[in-house]
Amino acid sequence: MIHATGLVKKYGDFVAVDHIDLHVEPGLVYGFLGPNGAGKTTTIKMLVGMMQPTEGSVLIDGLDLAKDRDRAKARMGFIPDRPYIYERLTGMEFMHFIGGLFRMDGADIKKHGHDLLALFEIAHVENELVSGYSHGMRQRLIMASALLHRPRLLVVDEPMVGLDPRGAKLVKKIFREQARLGTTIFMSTHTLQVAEEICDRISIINTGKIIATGTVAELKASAGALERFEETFLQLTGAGDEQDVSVIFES
Amino acid sequence: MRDTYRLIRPKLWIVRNNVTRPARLDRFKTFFFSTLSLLFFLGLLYASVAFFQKLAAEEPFGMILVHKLVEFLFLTFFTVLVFFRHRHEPQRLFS
Repeated sequence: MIHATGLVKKYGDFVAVDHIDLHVEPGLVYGFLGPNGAGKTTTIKMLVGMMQPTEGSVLIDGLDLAKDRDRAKARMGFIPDRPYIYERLTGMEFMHFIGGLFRMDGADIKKHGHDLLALFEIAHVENELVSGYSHGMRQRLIMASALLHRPRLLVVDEPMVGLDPRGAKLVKKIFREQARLGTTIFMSTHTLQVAEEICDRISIINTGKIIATGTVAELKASAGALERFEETFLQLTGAGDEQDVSVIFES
Repeated sequence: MRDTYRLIRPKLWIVRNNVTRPARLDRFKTFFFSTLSLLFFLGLLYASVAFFQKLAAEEPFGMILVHKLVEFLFLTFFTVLVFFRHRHEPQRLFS
């Protein structure tokens, strides 16, 4: 579904993403992990066509993102880490706006949009202004809108931000179900427990390079058969030797 | 044209929602500022038309001046429209 080859993004002399290769098969929940500033969001922006790579190419479902941008984008849904929603629209109007961008039929938007809002448990406020929504409700609205045009690939940057435990559980369930139906989910997250629970495969990025790829079990094995995935992640990213914080507070 | 409509549709809905769904305390404010805005833009339109008519009446190059002036106006507003969102991060123009 995603075939990214030799992706590079440079800002002047700084290399944010350094020759990354990503190959994601259809129907997988694929986790993309890494510490802050590792290059996750930059990579995601290149995968969804929001940012031009300095080098390399991205194929989405066989379509070259550089040459066939509109058709490739029509096959994917994107949930950014900081989404923008029109505050003075109702939830359903926002769905109509997004559906319109994908040239969906009005009746289909209404029916499928309502079903999705019901799935994300916000159908009872679909005719209320977004300005009255909580952070979690907005997050659910964004997710529902990303699934509206029935994408074959869903790219999610930090899906669990702002969701309560019930919302997080619901989103995990929906992602697994979408994957079962053939949709590919590519998600970046800092919540290692989520990645461990729902991801079929995981890539870990650090300082712009992919340092490990595999299933959770394979990654644990490569890091020395550590019991907890958190320890595996810290070991692989070299972040295990944190400083002694008590020194700062006791002085 | 249809694509343009798709993009500006939320803005139209927002205007409609602002009119039909203001909070009670906001009703007076909405009415007051809407009337003020309307009067301002009608005044601006009246003054512009009067100015351009006066300019166009100047023979022999009045109409040429009017055309040039309108071109400048369009260019200025279009530039403001394009660059306004990059005012804090001009480097993003090139990324």
